Parts: sequence; structure tokens; C-alpha cells
Amino acid sequence: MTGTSPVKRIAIFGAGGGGTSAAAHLTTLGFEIRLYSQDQSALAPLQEIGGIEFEAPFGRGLAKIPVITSDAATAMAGAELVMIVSPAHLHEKWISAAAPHLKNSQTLFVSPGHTLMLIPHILRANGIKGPVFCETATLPYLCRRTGPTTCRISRVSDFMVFGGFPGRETTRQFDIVSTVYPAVKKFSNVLETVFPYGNAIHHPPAFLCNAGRVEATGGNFRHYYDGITPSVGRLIDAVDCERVAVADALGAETMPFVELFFQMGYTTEAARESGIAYEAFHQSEPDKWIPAPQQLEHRYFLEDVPYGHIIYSELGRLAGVSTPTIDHIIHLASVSLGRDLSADALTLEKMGLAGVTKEKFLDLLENGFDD
Amino acid sequence: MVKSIAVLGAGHGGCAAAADLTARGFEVRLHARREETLSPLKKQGGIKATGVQEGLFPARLLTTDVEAAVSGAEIIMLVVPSVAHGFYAQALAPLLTPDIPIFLNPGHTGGALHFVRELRRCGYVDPVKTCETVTLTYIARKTGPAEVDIFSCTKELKFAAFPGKYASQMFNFIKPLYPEITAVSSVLETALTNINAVFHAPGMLMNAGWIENTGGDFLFYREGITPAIGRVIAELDAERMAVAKALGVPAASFLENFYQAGLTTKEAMVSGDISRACVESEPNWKIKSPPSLNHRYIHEDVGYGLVPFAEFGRLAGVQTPTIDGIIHVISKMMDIPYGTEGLTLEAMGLSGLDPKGVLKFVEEGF
Repeated sequence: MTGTSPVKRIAIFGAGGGGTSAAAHLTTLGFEIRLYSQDQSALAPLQEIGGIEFEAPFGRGLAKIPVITSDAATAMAGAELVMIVSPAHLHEKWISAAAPHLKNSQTLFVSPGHTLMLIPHILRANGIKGPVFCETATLPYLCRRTGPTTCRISRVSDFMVFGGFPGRETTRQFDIVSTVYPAVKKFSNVLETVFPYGNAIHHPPAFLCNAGRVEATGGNFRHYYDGITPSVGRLIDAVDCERVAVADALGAETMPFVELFFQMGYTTEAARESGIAYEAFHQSEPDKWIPAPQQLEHRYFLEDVPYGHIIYSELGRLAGVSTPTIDHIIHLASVSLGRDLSADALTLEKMGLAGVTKEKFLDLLENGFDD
Repeated sequence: MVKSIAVLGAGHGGCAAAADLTARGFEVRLHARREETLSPLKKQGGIKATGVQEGLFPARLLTTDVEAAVSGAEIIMLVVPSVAHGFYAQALAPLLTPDIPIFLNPGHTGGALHFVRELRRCGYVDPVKTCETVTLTYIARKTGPAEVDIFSCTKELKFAAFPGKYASQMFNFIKPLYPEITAVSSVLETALTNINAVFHAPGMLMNAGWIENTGGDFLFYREGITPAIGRVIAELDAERMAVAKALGVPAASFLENFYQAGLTTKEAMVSGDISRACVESEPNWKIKSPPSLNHRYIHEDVGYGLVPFAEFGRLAGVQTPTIDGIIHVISKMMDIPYGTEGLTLEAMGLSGLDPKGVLKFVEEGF
């Protein structure tokens, strides 16, 4: 595969579960990886063994990583692809670190992205004119960091919604990234990668409905298999209906969550037929073993409300579509944590788009900024 | 003084009332909707009670016929969940006369208003005197088909009449039956001090996965009301009190009510921590979670608790985002539109009235 790819060297930003899994997987495919993190304590054990130990469907062992560094310039030097693998709330930090060293010839690929026009906003704030980047809606792996030098990949995704910014640059970027990740599916733009961000759909409602058990038992149950019961599934379905309505009103192509989940290979044909979230999760082999978080101070709320539910609600307002279930969950999650999750959320304002009209928004999405 | 009492409903509360009132020398005419509820009692010759009353207590009459139950009774006492008020209103509408008062034990939120409105809907046009307590006068559980364990009688139980102009008459009428009652300003006050609605619904919502996954295999208060749920309850409670204040109705906080009812420690009340108050609620320690979401903690405490709270908020012009959120989310989970099917202002006979009009109506009646 690497023989036909214009990409030889890849800088990976992020040494959590996703970043180390990507480093391991792409190394085994023959790419030359440079792993970057600002967290030196996370890098030290990896530097000591010279890579990451992995356990995955494609094998197990030590993936040797030639460069493991906390210096962004070193990590990015000579890389054709710069891949950001981090929770959405860290995008600002990683992109700001990468921006000063980013060259026009490098493809900036954020996986998962789903922060709409936040990244171009940060790039512009860092002096980059006419910013270009691309992203997937979801992480390429179902994985966990299992120790200081280990990661476990339970599945490599065979379906990722892909979009580029500006929308008219999507095809060019797709042609590059698809040589590294053939599972990417080309969509129109980064609005279409926001909607299929599955975690944003199901984590907040599922977490809200299991808050007592998480706190009472320290998360001693399986989040999806035990926690998403029929009534919790119905709440997820209600959230999903609102999300699809917002996407439709903005002319963005998206599919119902259960269909998406099936396309990603996470559930059965029977669950797909049922069309309901409860069946999709209950019949999900790869998700079955995933334990519940130990506490409510967790990205299921801290990331997926401010960077998921809240942007759906914002886009609903932009499109003139009401999102009562999503709005109520935002409020109840905030009350349950004792602080306002909208205070530091991904909003149109945060992307520098306060007061934008629907028409202007869609124009920027396709054509980008002329600066 | 009252001698003959029709007790409608033979669940935990109805059986406790039938045994206790019989033990204290009243004639009880007990009604149940289903014969299979009554046949074990008939077979045994009454209700076997433990706790506050000990022994076998034969009610004067055990019947599934509402007409027989109320015939000759000087007062009709409904000991049923709110959802059953409609059924009994329909059955009683053709039988009722203005001289027989109706006592809803408990009324929960808006019980008396709702019951009278249902009577009207069923064609009853004469005046009617009703009264209610906010919660049941007993803490009791049926321990078998014909046995009831009466743990205690509720203290300082808030009591109000509808129409309010009969308050002292109704109070004097009920006081000999239940000396624990204390009169409050109106049925709006009993309505807005329903603490079950305050903590049951958040507890159910935020433990929904646990309940459905394990059949409720945990202790509802002691384990299930965690700090995060406590914070949601506190917010909901603050909204409830704001609504009450805007309507000029006195309303103590959940914690004060919980402490006054003898359900938690003084330290927990003073701490302001609702989760702690529930964890330290000794009378509730052994109470298990409901086995499913299909339970009165939702049907009653959302539909006939939070919904009227939100409706009173709308009336008073007070925002209730937490209450609204819980109603909406639970409605989606249960696929039941509680907001419209529950106890709305219309269902309480209050539609089209402004706050002043409601206060007048609550005092004067139809």
C-alpha cells in the first residue's frame, strides 16, 4: 500500500489510545511514524522501549517508532501527512502547536475532527491564510490505552465519513488520505463530518441515564452492553431524530445513527433492520466489553456535551430547527456536574462565526476564507 | 363524630387504613377494583396487621362494588395512586351527594382539584367538599395478600381542603381519624410540598440503566441517590420553591421537609447535601429500587408531580428548566407524553385562570 501512496512519513499528534494505536497500525503498514505529544511523562515510557506495544486484530508486538518527541518541529519535519489524534477539546492546543511549522505541501488530517470551522479559525489566528485541512468524523480505531507502553485495538474501522475544508478541496485531500486509510468515505465538507460523530449522539444520554450507577459503583458495569437498556436506547433515538432533522435543514447528507453504526461495522444486520439504538448497542460485539467510566467527570460528558450536543443545538438554531431533547440533556448534564457545560463549548462564536447567517455559513463551508 | 368510612383502594395504604381504623373502632367499608385483591382477605376474615396495630381486623364490608362500599358511609376516603382518581370519579359521580365529604389520602399534587374536575367531567354538578393530605398517613407495606405491616404513622402531615372555605370544617371532621394532620393554607400548598415528585423522578431517570439492567437490584435511596443526582434534585427543588413563592404559597425546602418528616439526620439537613440526606435516611435504608421504570415513581411522580409543578410555573411566569428537562427526557424514554397526558392546569380545572383567579378558585370552588 505504501508503495502507491504519496505519503511516506506521518507525524502523529497525540499519544493517548488513538494516537498510539495509529502509530502502531501505520507502522505495521510500512509508514514512517513520528509521534508527538506535549505530555513528556506519557512519552518517556515509549521512548524507553522505542515504540508502542500493541495487541490488535492484525497482530501483536512492538511497533518501533523512530521519532518520539515533544518538539513539534522535529515531529513534522519532512512529513507528508500531519495527523492530529486527540479529543476535540484539545484541538486548539495541538493545532496551535502545529501551525508555526505547517507547510503548504503538508496535508493536515484531523481524526477525529468534528469541530466544524474551529480548526480553520485557529489556523487563521496563527497567521495561516486560506487554511486547508481535512478530517474524519470518528477515530479509525476502537481502542484503549492499556498501560504506559501498551495499547489495545479491538477493531480497525472500515467506514469513516471524510470531509475537507474548504469543501471544494475535499477531493484533492481525499485522494491523499485514502492511500493511508482506504476506509475513508468521501463526503462533501466538514459539516457532513460533524453529524456522524457517533459519540456525541449517544454518550450524553447514556451517561445521564447511568449517572447513579457510575457514581455508586465506580463504573463497575459495561457501559454499552449493560448501560444502554431499552429506555436509554429510546432516548438516544430521540436525540438522533433531532440531529438528522438539523442536518436535513442544512442540506447536509447524513444517515441515521443505527445505519452509521452498522456501516462502521459495529453491529449486526438484524440490529440495522430494527433501526433502534438499543438493538444496535446490545448486538455490538466490539463494544460489548467496554467498561463504564469510573466517574462522571469524564469525556462522555466533558467532551461530548460541549463539543457534540451543543454544536447540534447551535446548528439547529442556525437552521431554524428546534432540538428540545438535546437542549434538555445539555441542561441536565450541566446540573448533574454542578457547572455550566456550555461555558467552554464549541459554538459558532468560538469559530469566529457569531451572528453568521445560514447562507454565509454554507458559503464559507464550501469556499473557505479569502484572506 | 364519624363512624362509618368507605375506604377505596386496598393496596399498601388502603389495607393499613382499613386495619388501623377498624382497630380504633370505626366501621370500614373497603373497596378494591379486583376480586383477587379481596378474596384472600375474605378467606382470612379480615386483614392481619403488624406494627402500629397488631391482630386480625375484620372490615365491616369487603367489596368490588363502589356503590355498596359508599352506601351509608359518612366519608369516602380514597387511598389510591393519582392515576386511579379518574376511575373513582367516574364511579362516584352518579352516587355522590353534597353531604358526603371526600378525603384523598394522599392527594399528592393537585389531587383534590383533579378529582373534582373529573367529577364535573362525569356529569356531577352539585357542590362537593374535598380534602387531602400531601402524602399517605401511613408508612406501610403489604407483606402478603392479606397482611400489612404498618411501620409508623406520618407525623405533622400537611392537610388542606378544596374549596378552601370548608377548611376548618373538613379539618375538624378528619382530625379524630388522623390526629397527625396539620392544616396548611390551601391545596396549592399541599400540591407544592409533594417531596416524592422532587426526588423520585431524578432518581429514576439517572438510574434508568441500572434499573432496567438489574431489575432494580440496588437500594434506591442509600445507593441510588448519588452526589450528581443530589445536585439535580436540589436544582429541581429550587425551581419548585420559586414557583411556590411566586404564587404566594409557603414552601419549605426538600431537606427541611425530609428532616421534619423524621426521614434524615439533622446533620444531613444542615449540610444542605441532598445525596447525604438520602444516604442517611434510616427509615429508607432498606427500600429497594423499583424493578422497572414502569412504576409509580415515574407515572405518578412525573405525570402527577413534576407536570403540575411545571404547569404552576407557567401560571406564575417562573422558568422551570430542570423540571421541564426531566419531564421531556423521561417522556422520550417511556414513550409517554407526560407533559400533555399528565396533570395539566386544564386537568386540575384551572385553565384560563390567572394566578389571582386560581387563588380565588381554590378558595371558592365552582
